[in-house]
Amino acid sequence: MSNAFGIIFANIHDEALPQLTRNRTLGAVPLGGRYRLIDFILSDMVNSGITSVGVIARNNYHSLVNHLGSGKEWDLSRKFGGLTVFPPYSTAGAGLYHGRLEAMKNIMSYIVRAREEYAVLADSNVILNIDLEKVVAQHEESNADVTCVYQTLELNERNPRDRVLYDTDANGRIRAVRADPRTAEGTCCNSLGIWVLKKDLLIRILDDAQTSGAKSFERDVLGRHCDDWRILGYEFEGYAAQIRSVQGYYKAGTDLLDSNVRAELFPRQRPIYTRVHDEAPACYAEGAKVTGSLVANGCRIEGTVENSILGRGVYVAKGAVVRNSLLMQGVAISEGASVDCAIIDKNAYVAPGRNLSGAPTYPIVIEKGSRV
Amino acid sequence: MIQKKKCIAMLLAGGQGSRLKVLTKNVAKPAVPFGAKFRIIDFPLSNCINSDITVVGVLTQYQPLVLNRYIRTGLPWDLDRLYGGVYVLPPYQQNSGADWYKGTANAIYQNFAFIEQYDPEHVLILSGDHIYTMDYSKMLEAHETSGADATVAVIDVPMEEASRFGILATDDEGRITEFQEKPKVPKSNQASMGIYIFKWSKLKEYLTRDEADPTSSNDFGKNIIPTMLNDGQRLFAYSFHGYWKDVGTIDSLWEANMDLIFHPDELKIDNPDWKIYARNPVCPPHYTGPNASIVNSIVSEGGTVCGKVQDSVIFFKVDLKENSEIYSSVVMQHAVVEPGAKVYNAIIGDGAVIKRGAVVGAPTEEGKAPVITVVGPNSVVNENEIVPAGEIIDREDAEKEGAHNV
Repeated sequence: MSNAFGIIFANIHDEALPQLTRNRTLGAVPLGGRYRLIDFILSDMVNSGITSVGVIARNNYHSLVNHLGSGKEWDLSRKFGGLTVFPPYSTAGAGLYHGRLEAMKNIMSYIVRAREEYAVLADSNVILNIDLEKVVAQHEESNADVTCVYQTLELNERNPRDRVLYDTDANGRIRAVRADPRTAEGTCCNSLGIWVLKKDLLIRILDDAQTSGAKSFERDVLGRHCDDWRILGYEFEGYAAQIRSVQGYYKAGTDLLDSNVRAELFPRQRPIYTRVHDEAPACYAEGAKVTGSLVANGCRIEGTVENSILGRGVYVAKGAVVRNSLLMQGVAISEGASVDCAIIDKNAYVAPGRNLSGAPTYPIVIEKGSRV
Repeated sequence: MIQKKKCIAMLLAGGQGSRLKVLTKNVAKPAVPFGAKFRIIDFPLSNCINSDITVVGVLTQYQPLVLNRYIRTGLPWDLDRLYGGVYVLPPYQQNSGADWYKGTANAIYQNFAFIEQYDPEHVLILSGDHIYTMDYSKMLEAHETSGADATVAVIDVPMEEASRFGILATDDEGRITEFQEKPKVPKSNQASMGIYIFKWSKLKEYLTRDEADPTSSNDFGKNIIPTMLNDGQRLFAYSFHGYWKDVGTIDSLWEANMDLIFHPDELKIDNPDWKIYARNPVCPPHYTGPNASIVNSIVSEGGTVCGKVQDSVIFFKVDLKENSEIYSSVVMQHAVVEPGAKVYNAIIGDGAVIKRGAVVGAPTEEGKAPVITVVGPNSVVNENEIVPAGEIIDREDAEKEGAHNV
């Protein structure tokens, strides 16, 4: 068992996917046919021996709570610790929180009561399979105050939205934090939104934030203490996708069609857990043509599907063609309809003969339950 | 605290099912995989929860490990309850002595104490040998309305097959007048489904008497039902209409799997109002390769299909490589079919490996019944080996013996 407890921010990046987060938190956005975004970081914590996890939600948390339930499916239904979901509540006088510091301030008593020495903080917009035990071990060995997980990227972006970059020195120590930088060019240490620190330090940070008016954990806390604290980077070298836009979501979805990515994300020893739905096996009718796709249980396919991901219970009628698309649970594509480069949210319906077509760089998004 | 239950179920899951040969070498029959993601026992267990029966005793004896690990707390069937739920009941040592379950009736007799905890009015006796969906609450209703001491579920079978079953004759009101176990000359085509509801007070009495009779084989069909009938007790038949299949043989197991593809409306495994629950493996959706071709088949999650699949049932975490070909077959979990291998009319057990270029079984010959070939769990068919139709291969690697492929 790990000497760390986890805190997951389920909402922090909601604005990245406005169409998909209208009725749910970012953490509850479906991905990969049967998962929700939060499944990845939550399973990573569990697979790393973290058995006490608090999930902070803000608004639209119904589908998140519904998904997580008692935490049993992540083996987090525990006598001690386990999963605790914090719906939006605020202490007297405070409104809905903004940013991670306020969010954590609201659950101070949970943090104070935690038995573990370390805290692992994580956003829910990152898709990766990381051994957090190694991050905590490095944190302990290096005597760091805060350890920040990052990935090295070659970037060439103007005004990269919602990105945080770390400037590290030769010893891996973070010397500057650039939040929402004007440009991101060359080899960059891109924050993955996962941090390890001592519980005591976290409590101090939260107390200080109230007096200093700090709002942002990365900019106002990490950024201001680069010199007086030992803030170290931990480079994650495996596959990681961070959802910061619709395009990024589409790319992360289609990345799963690559067997190397799947092998990294879903190794047998470190599975990604999710809520089960007791669907029947997928049914391929006479005349079905399905290639290069991921197909979840409960689907019925009579038409053609290429390079796509079909969530649970998707129906593709005779003569329908689905290409390069991400179809969520319960979507129905009618006879003769064709769909290309689309993200189709839960229970949407595409009428016979309709033709929807986007581009990989600009996929069409069809909202939950809509009829096209 | 004891919570009184009107009716509890006792599920007989101790049989070896030796006619399933290598498929039941290491697991009890109810644990045999079925229908791409289920095991046989999922059907009676799901029927119970869907019929609002929330106490189920599962009587195990033969190779109980896999079944035990599968059922555990009963959570997947919503049978993990504060009061009641599912219990696995192996034989145990009692003050009066210790014995294996000698027969179906004796198995219940040995678990008197379990049943008494719930002080039930009625006890539903089930077996783990059949694939069907049935609302037991309707049968219970009929049982209560008729005031029967015992109600036996019956199904019409073709007259020419009737001599394989326990056959009942009834009067106009459905009261059983005669019961013949596997009669040479059947009087009707109403076959017992091996599903009984007894008044617990009556069953207690007859089980106790049966136990005292040293000549009895302690069996419901052979002893309890005929004795009650002879004594003039009120026994009624409850007619069931729907899909019901004994999957006790290789052929019938294969056929029942094929029924899911060719007759999906008979046994609806995708009925949202009568879900069949199973312990779900943790895995991503299955992947169909760029050159895959899958038609008229059902495929479960976690596997990879890169070859050709036709008229087949593919379980979870199966790996069908490029240029493999599967026709009219059942491929169970974790099996691997390597490039160029062909499989016809076969059941491939869990964890089995069909190496490159091998051919298992043969296509159905024109005008003849299909001949089913079986590759046992964790067995390996060698490169380019030809396994003739009808063969049953048991080459389980000693190291993997009884490995539980979940």
